Amino acid sequence: MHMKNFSTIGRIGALLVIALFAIAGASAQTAQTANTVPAALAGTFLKPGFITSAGQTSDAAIVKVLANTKLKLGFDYDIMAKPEAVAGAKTLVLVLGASNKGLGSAGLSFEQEMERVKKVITAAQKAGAKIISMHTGGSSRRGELSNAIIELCIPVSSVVIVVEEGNKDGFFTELCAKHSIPLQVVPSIAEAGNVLKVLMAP
Amino acid sequence: MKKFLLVMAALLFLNSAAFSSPAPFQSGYAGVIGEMPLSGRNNAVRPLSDYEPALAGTVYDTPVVVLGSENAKNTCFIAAGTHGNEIAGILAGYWIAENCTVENGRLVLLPRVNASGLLRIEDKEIAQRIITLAGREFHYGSRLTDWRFEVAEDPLNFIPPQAPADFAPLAGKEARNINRNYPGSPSASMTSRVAFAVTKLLLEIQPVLAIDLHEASLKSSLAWSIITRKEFLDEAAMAVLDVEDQTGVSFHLEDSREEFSGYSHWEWGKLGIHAFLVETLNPAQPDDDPEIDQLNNRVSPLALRVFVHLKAVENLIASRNLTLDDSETIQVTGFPRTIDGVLSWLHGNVHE
Repeated sequence: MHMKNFSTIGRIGALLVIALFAIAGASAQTAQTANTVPAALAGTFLKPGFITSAGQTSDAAIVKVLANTKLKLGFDYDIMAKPEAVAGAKTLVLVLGASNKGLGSAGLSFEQEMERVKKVITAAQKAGAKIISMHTGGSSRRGELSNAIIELCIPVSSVVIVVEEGNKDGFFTELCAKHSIPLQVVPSIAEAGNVLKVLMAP
Repeated sequence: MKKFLLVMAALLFLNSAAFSSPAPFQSGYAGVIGEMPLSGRNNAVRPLSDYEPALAGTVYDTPVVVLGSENAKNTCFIAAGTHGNEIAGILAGYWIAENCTVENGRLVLLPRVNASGLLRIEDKEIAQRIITLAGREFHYGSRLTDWRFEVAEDPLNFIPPQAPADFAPLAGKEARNINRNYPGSPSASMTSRVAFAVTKLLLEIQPVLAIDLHEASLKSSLAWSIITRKEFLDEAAMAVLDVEDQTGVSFHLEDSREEFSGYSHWEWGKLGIHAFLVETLNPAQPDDDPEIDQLNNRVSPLALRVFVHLKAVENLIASRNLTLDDSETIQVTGFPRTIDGVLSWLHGNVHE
């Protein structure tokens, strides 16, 4: 009997959760493709490019393989790059998402990682590089720590690319609108790569 | 005389345990063979006890299936069923045993590492669960090994054998989790001996690639992912991209560290093997809720989970092949092209 009651309550709860997601999702952006990259942005990001993580997510390794092995874009890469490493770059790609496993593996606290990212951003800006922020890890790369690092990186970005599963609540849509940053919401990691390719100068 | 009485008492205890529960399989090996669809493509099937004789004839012994040439230069090792309740990996293993052909190289497969978990005997409660697919019966088994035939009671807590000094102890029942026991030991628990036998097998076959198929709950950050050591992230990243592209499932990558001590991929990686843990989403976990429809679940139906496992295996092999000489790559055919192929197989129709 208890199980039945629990089950009914559980179902009502599930419906409420779905309803809440539906309301939140109303502000999320419909997925786009590389074809919808605004002409004003296409081909405006120069080489050499550099990829690093912001939050030590292993998604950075995926973006590197996508950009370099699949799309042959020839980015330099260091998941925990130091500021001096990005000084020569004209485009900096920040792969967003905090990972406790990644931070532990790198021997960094979250605070230390935030400091590293701030310094990398400052070095890139001093060198005149433009910043592309990418979020490809979906809902597993959203949460308190991830959101904090996303909020650090979005305002300094020239464009943001997000795989739609990570924007179900419209977080990126809202944040980009607030800071007037162009946002490309895409359906898959592969499409995120296609957008990146269109953004890069030939 | 005292010894004799002790032995008799032990035998009586074992007998009473057997009478008070569903009859266990005489050997885990026979139990798994009984539900595994083997095809003529398999070159050989042998017991894991070949690598650790203490397992012979026990519920812990399990089949090792070998496809391809025994003399091949490069071998891919696939493990499934370490946790008997993670059935998508087990069924993916059965698909490979039944449908795949190795054109070059060798594939060594353990479809149910935890054969003793075939029956649902966990936390000392016994309730068998069977899933019938296409007229064939498959056991939805236990995460842990069978406590009834272990050499000792569960300890108060458990620390994996090669864990660092600051490792936070696990619950005592994790002593019966094979995937916390690697590399295992021939002089410890039966669970540890299974892990030891797998390690010995790996040392003999020297695989260039090892894949362990698992499932995780919706709450776990590991669901729909490939997990590996830092040194193999690029190889996994390539597979993640291709799995997502071919299945439409948003897949992700996780890197592991010391907290994965005792896990297969972590410890196998120490042997220099490119080792990967693949996780799909089992909607019934973490409690194995029997009311969850495994087959037709809206979020994560069984066919999708099996399909994703198979595409993960196929793409991890392809990714590993990129660094092997052309003549020495591992070539396996018979993976499903679409999810429809898996659906047909699960329903007993001729597939693709």
